[in-house]
Amino acid sequence: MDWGWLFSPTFSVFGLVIMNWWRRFYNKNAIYFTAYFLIVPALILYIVFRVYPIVYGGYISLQEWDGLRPMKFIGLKNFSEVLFNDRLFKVSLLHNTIYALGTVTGKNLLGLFLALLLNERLRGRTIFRTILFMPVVMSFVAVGILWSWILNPAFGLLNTLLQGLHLNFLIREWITDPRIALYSLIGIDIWKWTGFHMVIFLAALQSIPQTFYEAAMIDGASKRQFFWHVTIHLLVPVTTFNVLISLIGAFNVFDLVFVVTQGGPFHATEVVLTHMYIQAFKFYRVGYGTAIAYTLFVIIFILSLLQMRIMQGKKYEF
Amino acid sequence: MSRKMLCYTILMVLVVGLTVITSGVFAKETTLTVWGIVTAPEQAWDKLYAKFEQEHPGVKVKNYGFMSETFMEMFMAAHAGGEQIDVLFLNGQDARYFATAGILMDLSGKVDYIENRLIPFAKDVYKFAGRQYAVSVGGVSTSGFYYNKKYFRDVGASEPVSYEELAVIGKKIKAKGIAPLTHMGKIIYMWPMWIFETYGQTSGNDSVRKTALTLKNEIKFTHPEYIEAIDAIGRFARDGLFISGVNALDREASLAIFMAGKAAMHYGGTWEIPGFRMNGPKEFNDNVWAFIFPKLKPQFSPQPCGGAGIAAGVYSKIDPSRKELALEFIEYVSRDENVKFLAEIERQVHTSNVNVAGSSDPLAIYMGQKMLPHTKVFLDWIWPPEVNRAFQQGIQAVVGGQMIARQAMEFVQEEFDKLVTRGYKFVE
Repeated sequence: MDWGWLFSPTFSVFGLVIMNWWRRFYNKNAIYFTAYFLIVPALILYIVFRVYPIVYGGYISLQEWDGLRPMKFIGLKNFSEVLFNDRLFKVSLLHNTIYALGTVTGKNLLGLFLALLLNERLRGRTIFRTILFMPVVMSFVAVGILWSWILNPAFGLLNTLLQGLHLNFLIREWITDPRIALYSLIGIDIWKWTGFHMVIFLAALQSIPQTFYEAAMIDGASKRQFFWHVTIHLLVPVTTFNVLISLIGAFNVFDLVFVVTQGGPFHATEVVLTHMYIQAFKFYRVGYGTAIAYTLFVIIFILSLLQMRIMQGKKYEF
Repeated sequence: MSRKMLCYTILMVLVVGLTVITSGVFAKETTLTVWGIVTAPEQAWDKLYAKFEQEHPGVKVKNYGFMSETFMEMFMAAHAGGEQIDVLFLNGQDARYFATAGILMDLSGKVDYIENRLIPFAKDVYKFAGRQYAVSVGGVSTSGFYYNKKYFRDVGASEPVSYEELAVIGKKIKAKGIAPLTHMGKIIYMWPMWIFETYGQTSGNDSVRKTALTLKNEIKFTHPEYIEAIDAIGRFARDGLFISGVNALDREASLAIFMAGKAAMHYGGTWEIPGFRMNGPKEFNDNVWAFIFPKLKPQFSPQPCGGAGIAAGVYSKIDPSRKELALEFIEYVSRDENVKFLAEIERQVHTSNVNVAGSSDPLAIYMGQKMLPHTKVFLDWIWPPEVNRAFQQGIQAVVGGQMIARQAMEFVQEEFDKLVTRGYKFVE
C-alpha cells in the first residue's frame, strides 16, 4: 500500500488545521472534559449494576420464566395477576402498611425524643449516644436471631423476665401468635433503627442557630413555645428525610421478617418482599416475582412523592 | 564433529527442554464443577474429591455448595449467566423440578451400573416418567420419635405403640415439669414430615400412590383421609404434647432443649444422630433411644418417611468435552467404598448401596432395622412446591390453633387448584 499521501503538503495543512481546532476546542471546554473523564468510571458501574438490572427486571416482569427454561412473553399478565387475583399480595401489602405506620411513627418519635434528651448537657452523654446507635450497625440477620431467642415463648428472656417480675398476665407467644407477631417485628425494627434517626435529629438540633432561641426568649416565649414554634418547625426538612427513609425501609422490609417468622404463622407476618421471594425462588416464578417487585416500586415511588409534597410545603429555611 | 556436532546437540537439548517445559506449563487442567447442597465439603467430600483428582491427573474438582434455602437463586444466576456447571448434587424436591425442566441430563442407559449397585428404593427415587435422571449417592434416612429413657423410666413408661399410650406418657411427663415433646416448628419445611407419617397411616399405607392420584386430580386434598391425617397432628397440640411455643423453635433450639433434658421426646430424622453424638452430653447419649411413630388407630400401621441420598446428576448443557468426566465422577462417588466412607462420617442408618451397611452406631442400627423397612419416600419430593408450602403453612396453623383440619386442607386444595389453572401437569 502506498502511504506517501501521509506526507503530502495538502494533508499536512489539513492535519494542522484539525489539530489547531481541537486544541482550541479542548482549551475552551477543558473543565467539562475533566468532569466527564472523572465521572465515566462511576457512570459505567452505575449503568451496568443499577440501570441495566432495573431495565432488564422490567423485561423479565413481562415474561413467564422459571429461571431455568427459556422465557415466554406474556405481556402484562403477571401485573394483572398481582393486582387483581393475588389475595396474598394484598394481605402482604396491608401488613407492610401496618408495619410502615408502626415503624415510621415509632422510630421518629422515639428518635426525636432521645435526640432532645441527648442534646442536653447530660453526664455520660457520649456513652448513651454510642449505646443507642449500636443496634444500627448490627446486621438484620444477627438482630433477627437475637430477638428470636429473646422473644421465644419457651425459654426467651422476655417471658422469663415477666415471670420473674410476677407479670404473668403479660406473657405472650410473641412471634408465634398471629395476633401480635407483626407488632413484635415492628418493635424489633424500632429498636434497631431508632438510634439512626436519633443521630440525624441530633445533628439537625445542633445546627439550629441560637439566635432563633434568643429572639424567642426576648419575645417571652415559654419552653413549650420554644419547642413547638422554633425546634419543631426548623426540624421539618430533617423530619421529611427521616420519614421518607423509614417509609421506604418499611415497604422494603425482608430480612428481619424472613429470619424471625418467615412470614408465618399462616401468613400473619407475610410482607410483599417475602411473598415475592417465595414466588420467585421457591415456586420458580421469577417473572411473576419481578412483577411483584415492580408493583411495589411504583407504590413506594408514589408514596414518597406524596410524602415529599406534603412535608415540603412546610419547609423552613435558615 | 566438534563445532557442528556441538551445535546440533545444543539445538536438540533446547528443543527437548522447551518441549518438556512448555508441556508442563501449558498442560491444560480440567476443572469439574459440582453444584449443589454439599455445604461443608471439608467434613468428608473433600477427601473424595482429592481421591478422584488422583485417579484423574490434570482434573480439579471444584465444589459450589449452598444451603437448600439459597441454592435456587445461586443456581439460577449461574445457569442464566452461562457459568460452568457440570455435576449437580440436588435434594429430592429440586431433582424432580430440574428433571422436568430439562436441566438434568437423561442418564438412562448411561448409569446401568446402578442396577446391581443400588437398593430398589434408591434406584427408583430419581426416575421420572420412566427415565433415570440422577444417581442416589449416600445414605438412606428414616424417621421416628427420639426419647430420653430416663424420663420414661421415671414415669414407668415403655415405648408407646398407640397414640393414646403416647398421650398418657406425655401427660405424666408434663406433670413432672418436663416438656413432653419438642420439634423445630419454626423451620416450616419440617412440618410436612408429620403428615407423611399420619397420611401414611390414614391412607392405608398407600400414601405415595394416592399422592400421585391427588396430583393427577383424581383425589382431592379435602378427602377425609387427608383431613384425618392433618387433624391427627393437631391432636398432639390439643393434648398439650408439644412444648410451649413449638412454632418458635428453630433446629438448634429444639435440639438444645432435647439434649439438655428439658424435653422428653423429639421428632425427627436419622440425620440427627451425628448431632446427638457430637453435641449431646454423655448422660443424654446414654439415654437417647427411638420408637416408631405410634399407631393413630389400632387398624393402622406406622409408616415412617425418608429419602434416599443426594441426587447426583449431570447438567444438561454441560460442555461435551467434560460429559464423560462428569459421568465417571458420578460413577465414582456412588462406588461402595466411597458411600461407606460417607456413611460412617454421617452415621447413616443405611446407604443407597446394596453392599454397604449403615453406621455401626447402635441407635442407627436399631432405626435401620425397626423403621427403615416400613419407610416411604418424603411426599414433598413428589408434591409441587406450591402444595408443599401450603401444607407447611396449614400444619403450622393447625398446630398453632389458628385453623381446623378441614380449613387447612381446603387451603391446600385451593393452592393446588390455582396451580392447575396455570397449567400444572404431574409427571409420574
